[in-house]
Amino acid sequence: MSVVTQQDSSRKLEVVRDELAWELLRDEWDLLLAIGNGPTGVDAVAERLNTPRGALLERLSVLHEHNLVYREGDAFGLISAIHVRQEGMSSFLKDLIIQRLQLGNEVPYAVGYRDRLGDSASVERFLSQANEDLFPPVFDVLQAPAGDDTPQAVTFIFVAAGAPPDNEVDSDLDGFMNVLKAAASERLVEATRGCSDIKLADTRNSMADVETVATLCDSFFSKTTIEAGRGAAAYALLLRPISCAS
Amino acid sequence: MFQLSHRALDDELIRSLDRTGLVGQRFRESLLRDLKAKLVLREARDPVDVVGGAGTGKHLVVAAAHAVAEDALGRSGPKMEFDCASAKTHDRDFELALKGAIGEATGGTLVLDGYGHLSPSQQRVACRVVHARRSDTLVMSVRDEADRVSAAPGRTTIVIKPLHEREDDIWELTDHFFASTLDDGVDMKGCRGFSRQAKADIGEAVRETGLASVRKLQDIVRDVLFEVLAAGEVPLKITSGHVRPYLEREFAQTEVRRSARQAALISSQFDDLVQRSLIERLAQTHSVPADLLRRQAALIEETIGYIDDKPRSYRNIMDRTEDIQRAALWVVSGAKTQAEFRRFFGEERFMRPTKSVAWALYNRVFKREM
Repeated sequence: MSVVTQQDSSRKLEVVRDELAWELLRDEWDLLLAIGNGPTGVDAVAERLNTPRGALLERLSVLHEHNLVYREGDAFGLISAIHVRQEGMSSFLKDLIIQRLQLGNEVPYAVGYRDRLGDSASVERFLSQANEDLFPPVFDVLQAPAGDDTPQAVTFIFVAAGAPPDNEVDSDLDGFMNVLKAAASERLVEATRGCSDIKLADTRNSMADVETVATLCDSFFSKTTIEAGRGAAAYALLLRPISCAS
Repeated sequence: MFQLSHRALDDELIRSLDRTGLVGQRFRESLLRDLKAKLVLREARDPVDVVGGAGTGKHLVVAAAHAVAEDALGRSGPKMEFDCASAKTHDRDFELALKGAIGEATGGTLVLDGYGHLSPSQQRVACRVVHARRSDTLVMSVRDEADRVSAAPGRTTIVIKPLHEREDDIWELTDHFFASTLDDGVDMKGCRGFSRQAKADIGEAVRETGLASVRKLQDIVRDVLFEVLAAGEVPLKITSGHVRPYLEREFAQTEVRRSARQAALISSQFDDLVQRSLIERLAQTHSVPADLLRRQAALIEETIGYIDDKPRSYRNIMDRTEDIQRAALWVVSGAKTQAEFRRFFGEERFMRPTKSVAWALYNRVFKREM
């Protein structure tokens, strides 16, 4: 899943399952990040991306047509939404998570890992609790308006799995990868879909916002009771300078 | 001193592959390695066999080899085909015809097309004639992997993987065939190609059915494209909604099987993706192609397998791999003496190892007591 941001954080996020919208989101990832919460003037985006204004307007009008951006005169901004993955798990993982973690371009700013969440039923309860107590405040923070001068793009990834392999975990990042791999498999099977989750949000936020999200996740993890069973969850926050995104 | 710059040569070969229109990054990487080792470094002297299933691109590989021979070796002769399927039946007539064809292709490439169709005695004649040729002709035999062959002329072989084993290339080929269909004049203005999910679905069908032929993939792309056109729409992208009815009809693909197969594959794919990303990063850090690092890792793994006289500790593994590296460098230098080894690195003193270093290396390479 993917979350993009808009200024109006009070609006409830819409769940989008449209394949074309997903394609545009993936094709125009950098353009969308360059626009940010908006409204951002076309000239500013053109300058940021070093792209002619005419070509940019064409691309923006397609995004507007598919409800990925809103328009205010000559300016555009992202429309918040939760997009359900509309592509094979393999390419999703490769392009959006693994390469970014492994190529070393985006060293995680913060990683959290929590094991001993119990069996599948316990993880399902954990996820339902997260939907109540963790994700709403996290998404509120991620949707907070960021100024045009906000220097970094932020990627928030949350994963949970009912039965990750019983591997020795050397670090929180190891734990994160272990859960991610298990979650990817579990999400593909109807029987285990409910006890696994992969959420991904690409936004532009201040460092204070990033700190807040890390604190919210750590605090949620620490409040969860320890249970016997292999269930585990993890999160990662990646930062990259906005100039790389654009 | 060995002066060849592999980076410059690689760049040249890449340009030749571009000229031939070869698509598929992984396929190109592997072919580039093959052409370098089996053709360029041998200065096109050794005959080459090209082996692959129907529709895997054997003739494209031959065209690439010819282009590489032109660009990297400065060869200017023609590329000629010798059709083995319609070759003379009598060995003597066949021999004369083949000798004539080799002569006509002097300075260029002679392709023995459909080599598997020759009788065993003709194959023996072909081997004799090819190996005894005096003209400067690159001879390439082309045959199907299913053909039973008793004698092949090639001193070296290029084996083309079937499409279902070229997972990384399926998406790129799908995009390429979409673009080439439009280049043929099909009017789909505004359509940007296949969606990721549609390409994943096609890839699943290719793997599921063990499809070997690249040509068949082209047919699939064209079929889907014309079905979309026939429906009277030009979508922004061709999505899974367009592709799945075709795949379900032609390949009996179902949602349940799609998911089950993805789930079964994801574990190995995940490991592979992580490993590949790491290799790419390290290769970039050390300024070498990813493929070289991959082969080096495989060699070290194999070397470790030979350490059975002592514990496979870090120190012992490093000692053994370093010894082998020194021995390999000695082989590369072609030296017979320490003085020749030193000269290999150039005429200037600062380029060479000192006498004591060469002496120490010699002793380690030949395991002489110091």
